[in-house]
Amino acid sequence: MEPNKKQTVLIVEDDEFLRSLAAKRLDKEGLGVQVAVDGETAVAVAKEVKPDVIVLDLILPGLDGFEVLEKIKAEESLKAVPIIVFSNLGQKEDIERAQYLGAANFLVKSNFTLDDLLDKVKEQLAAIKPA
Amino acid sequence: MDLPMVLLLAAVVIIFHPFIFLWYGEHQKVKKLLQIAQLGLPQEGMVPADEVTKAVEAKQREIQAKELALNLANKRLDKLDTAKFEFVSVTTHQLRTPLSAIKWTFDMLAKGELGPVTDEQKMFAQKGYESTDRAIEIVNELLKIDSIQEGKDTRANYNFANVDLAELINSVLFLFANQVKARNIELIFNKPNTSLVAQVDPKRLHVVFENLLDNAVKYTKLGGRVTVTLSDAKLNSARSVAEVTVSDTGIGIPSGEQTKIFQRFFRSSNAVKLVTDGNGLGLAIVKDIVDNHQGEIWFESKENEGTTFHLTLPLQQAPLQINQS
Repeated sequence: MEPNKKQTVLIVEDDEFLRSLAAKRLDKEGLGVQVAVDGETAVAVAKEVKPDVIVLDLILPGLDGFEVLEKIKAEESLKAVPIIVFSNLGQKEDIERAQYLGAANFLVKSNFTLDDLLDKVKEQLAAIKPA
Repeated sequence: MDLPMVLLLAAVVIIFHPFIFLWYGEHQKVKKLLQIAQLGLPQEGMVPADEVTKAVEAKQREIQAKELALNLANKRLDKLDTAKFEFVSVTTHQLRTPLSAIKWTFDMLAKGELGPVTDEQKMFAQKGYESTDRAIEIVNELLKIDSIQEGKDTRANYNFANVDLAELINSVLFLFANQVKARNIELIFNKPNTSLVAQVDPKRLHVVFENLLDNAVKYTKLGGRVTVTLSDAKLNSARSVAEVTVSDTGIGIPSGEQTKIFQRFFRSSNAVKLVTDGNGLGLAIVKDIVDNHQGEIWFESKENEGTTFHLTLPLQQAPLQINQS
């Protein structure tokens, strides 16, 4: 990895204000930020920019977050990308389903702050240091 | 009748027989219903045996009809219950999104991540953050009713700690200060001179007092009075128990509806009239939490005069009993 190449996080979130707050927080930390507002765009952007980490909401217009998870995990070039589910769903069944589909982490939005999210993103980035 | 006519009739019967059966079936049903409607109670006095039999049969049919109606009503209620649960869960999930936005904004403001702030501004942002967090906790509590229904929110999930009850109640009363002032309601808190410490789950007990006070304030007329009393009067050597009463001069609970008051989604008819929004979950949550504290809750109420809720809390949580047999 080139030393000055920014690591990129793709934020998939349909709520405009939440999206811009999260983007602002990660951007401030020097991370490259890409955003998607719905499921279809999320898959398309992921294929194009090959992000290092994906932050994924579950309730989305069109393809929902679970379907996005499935599609990305089925894509050879993307399946290693860690996905942090960041949603306001949080029932046991939702968490188990996301885990089963390959999510690296599951955070209930309202119970965490953006600093917590940043910590989790960094955790995932640290875990994928190139060999 | 000549042969072509007979053949034609036979053909008609063959083609239309499903409809004829259907018609006959409907006809029989209608006849039965009419019978049920017409045959009333048998007359008093001596009645011939066949009339008694007839009357008994009629009664049986009546019972069958009622059973059918009850089954239908039950199915409808089940559906309604499911719909309400979905409603609760959807609204709470959707409440979480704007609450997250407020919480994050306050958090970033307080930490200076949105630009430099003075100490005073920081303090305000911090308070805003804490209030939002409390609102989120209430939403989370509401979501827990799902788990309560499925029996998931058991004592095993509780975090018991030794808590000064007067302090806990004061922190709840503080939340109602503005509401009480705006409605010109006198809020009184009577407490013993010595502190009363009990082993409770403070977050869940906070929800209990919040719900009880919310009801008391909401359903009390302008200029009324809400009295909270914490007492150690029930302290005895067998098992030390604290008692809390929340008493209001509100609309009361109609006597015919008092047995339903702890049921999920139940709201008394006069409450619905006064305050249209409300989910009818508050007291169900309260009862569940008090039960899990090995406490008791009861009330007395008179319509248009007021309601007093009593609850007792053991100061020490006994280890869970294991069935001995």
